Amino acid sequence: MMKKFLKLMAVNRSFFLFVFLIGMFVVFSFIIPEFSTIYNVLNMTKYGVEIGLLAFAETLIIISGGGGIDLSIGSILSLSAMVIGVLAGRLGVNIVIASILGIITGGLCGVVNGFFVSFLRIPPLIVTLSTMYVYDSLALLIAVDKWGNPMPVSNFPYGYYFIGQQTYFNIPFQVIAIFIPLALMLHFVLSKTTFGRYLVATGNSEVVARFSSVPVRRVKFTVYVIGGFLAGLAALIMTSRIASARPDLGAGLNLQAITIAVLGGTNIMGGEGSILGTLMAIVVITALYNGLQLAGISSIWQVGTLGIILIGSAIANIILSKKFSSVE
Amino acid sequence: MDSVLKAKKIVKNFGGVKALRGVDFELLAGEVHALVGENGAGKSTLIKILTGVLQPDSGEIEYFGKNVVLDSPREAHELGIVAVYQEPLVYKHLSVVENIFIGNEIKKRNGDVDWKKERDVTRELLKSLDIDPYFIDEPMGSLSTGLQQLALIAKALNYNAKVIIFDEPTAILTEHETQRLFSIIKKLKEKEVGIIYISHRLEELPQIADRVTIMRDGQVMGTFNMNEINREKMIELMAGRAVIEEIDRKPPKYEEVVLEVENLNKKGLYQDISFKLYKGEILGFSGLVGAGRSEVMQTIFGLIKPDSGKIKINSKEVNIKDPASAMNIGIAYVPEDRGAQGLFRALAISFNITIPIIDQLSKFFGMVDKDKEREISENYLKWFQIKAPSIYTLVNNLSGGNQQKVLLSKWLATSPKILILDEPTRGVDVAVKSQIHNEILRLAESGISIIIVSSELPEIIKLSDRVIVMHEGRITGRFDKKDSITPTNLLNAATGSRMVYSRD
Repeated sequence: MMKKFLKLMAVNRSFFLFVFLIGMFVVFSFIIPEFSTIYNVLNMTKYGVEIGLLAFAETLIIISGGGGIDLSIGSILSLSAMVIGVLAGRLGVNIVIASILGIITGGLCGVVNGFFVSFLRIPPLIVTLSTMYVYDSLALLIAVDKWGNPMPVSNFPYGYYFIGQQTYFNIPFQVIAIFIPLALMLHFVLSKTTFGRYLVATGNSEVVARFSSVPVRRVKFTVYVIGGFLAGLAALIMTSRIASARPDLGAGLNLQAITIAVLGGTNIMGGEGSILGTLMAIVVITALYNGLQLAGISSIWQVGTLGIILIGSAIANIILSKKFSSVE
Repeated sequence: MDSVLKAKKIVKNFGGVKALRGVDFELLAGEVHALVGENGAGKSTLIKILTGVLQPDSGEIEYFGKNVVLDSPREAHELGIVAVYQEPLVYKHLSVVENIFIGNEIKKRNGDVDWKKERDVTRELLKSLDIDPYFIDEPMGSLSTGLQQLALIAKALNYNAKVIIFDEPTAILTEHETQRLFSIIKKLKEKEVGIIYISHRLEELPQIADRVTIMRDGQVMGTFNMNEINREKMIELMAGRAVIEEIDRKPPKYEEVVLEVENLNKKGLYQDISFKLYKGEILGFSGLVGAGRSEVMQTIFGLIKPDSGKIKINSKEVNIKDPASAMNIGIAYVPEDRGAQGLFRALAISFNITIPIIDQLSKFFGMVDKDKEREISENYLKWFQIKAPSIYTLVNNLSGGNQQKVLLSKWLATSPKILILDEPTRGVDVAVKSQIHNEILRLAESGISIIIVSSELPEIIKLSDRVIVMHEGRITGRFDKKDSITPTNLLNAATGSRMVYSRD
């Protein structure tokens, strides 16, 4: 019984994270009484949405293989956020149109990344490292006000805030109306569709995929574009939630998104990973950040613990799989 | 002359395959000893054993009269046995001097590398071979293959090598580079170095070799002084009386041309390739490894873009821009390398079988129809008798023969009209091989046109209605009559530059 349990932990990353989550919940509940209240549990979910969308984007991109990675994902978020902010807040464009253009901006950033990666065959690390700086600069550039300083924008129309601040029975709007449907859709695409098959094939071996008539370039291009759109969507939700668009919104999110995808069992070499795994990793990290905050531990510790958990889970995985996942 | 290296009764098996069946081989100091045989005769295995890469199952190796055990390449190297391969293994970004002394640096007293001395020694080494040492500071990667070989020979001399093995050294050299290599080999002989020389260019052997050993099916067919044997005799021994299975097959009608290739060219890969493929025929492509056959097939399948030439399907010229468009007009290509080209080893059997046709298996929103997927996969599993617990078993967990059946299933599932098989029975056991052969014959019977690329003569001879032979990127033989398809004829065309025709 115990052996079976540990073996499942070794083989199934989502189960591993689930067990970890339960453990964490128990510990936090003992230390902090308000942690496990329904209000807190439901409320904390909204903090996982934006980083979660970015982590989903990274999951698909990393699965595509060949060093697939997007270091610019947070920078796309910054740029999209500023596009929405500047259009709606400074130029008075209709907020719906501004939001759509903001998301499209994210998609276009993905098109640029995808073009360089799949058609010019430049390594993804180089491409997205470069575009990371370019998108960051563009976000700052359009944030510049008439006195020449990049400034945040916060005068959104009131109706805009429902996306990031409305709740139904304490469940945040963005969780129930955007995040969960998107997670289901991406899970469907990755695990049930022909595109998902092509993506896994490409990530497993680009040569075999080419020999199998898989449209390798189109597949790689597509995941970067999807990634861009998801980052644009995350920008929309974030600006609405904090009621402000700043050119540094996505700072630090690039690597966090990659970290969460990897924690969720996405193989950094490509070809392997799941939306469910990444989702579990998002839940774990969100709950962890929330617990640390409620326990009064400085937020300086947040990313540090993220790092510790990633390396810790890698070590646990090695120990478990050595013991239990060998062919019997 | 003294014996430098002597192999006695060497036996080596890979699983059930007998690679070497008691091989005796002797190399003398200062001789050039050629080693010839067709692909799979056991030359490479013997060389790997002599250089410590593989260990023999039984047999002994004597080095200067003493028994030695070569447990690792390093050990062989330290004794002075060095191999120079066709594609030299070098550190591309390091200079010639650094390559020669890597791991064996000359040091000053304070531990620094003594560059001056290293460069002096390198110059001396090259000069002793009559080579102008102008290139010793260049990065290896910027040199031609010929110069890289020379640098490696210098490296071997620096290690005080007593045995140097050349594995098809001239296959990718220009005529000028070849002549230079020969004169250097003569210099090495003067230094009492023993040289094993593997080559498929039989015509160059009288110029360079003192003796020749001929291998076939893991056995030595004989060792001769070079002046006692001619090319015809060598080919006869290489081909031998291979056991050719007789099969009962009616020749196809040769009425309908399905595929026609006209003057296909790709620089560095193949030149002037023209041939026709008829409905229901089995066309064999024979030749040695590296003759350019796979590259021609990959061009037809849209993986390589030709520089010039036409491909016609049913007498209409087509533009095959990628494998998907090749598949759409009914072409399937089963690649030679199962692991690197054919199958996703870490994924399930069903995934592998259905990936080329996955678009046809989708229902709404691109969703894969799992029932159809299971049905197709299970059909092939049953029909080909693939031994696996289920269709969701990972390919990695299957034996070579079963993997090969999965690979064939994958392409048969596309219902091709033209089926190109590249080494369809490589690394599979006898039972699976004959099962695959029967399947190929049955497919041809049902009207599918088949091209078989195989380096195994018995396979080509058994199955093919007609045979085309390629050598170094060109077609060097066409055999249209069944009784002209003999081992000797095919080998003659595969090893020489002479054109061999046999037509009605």
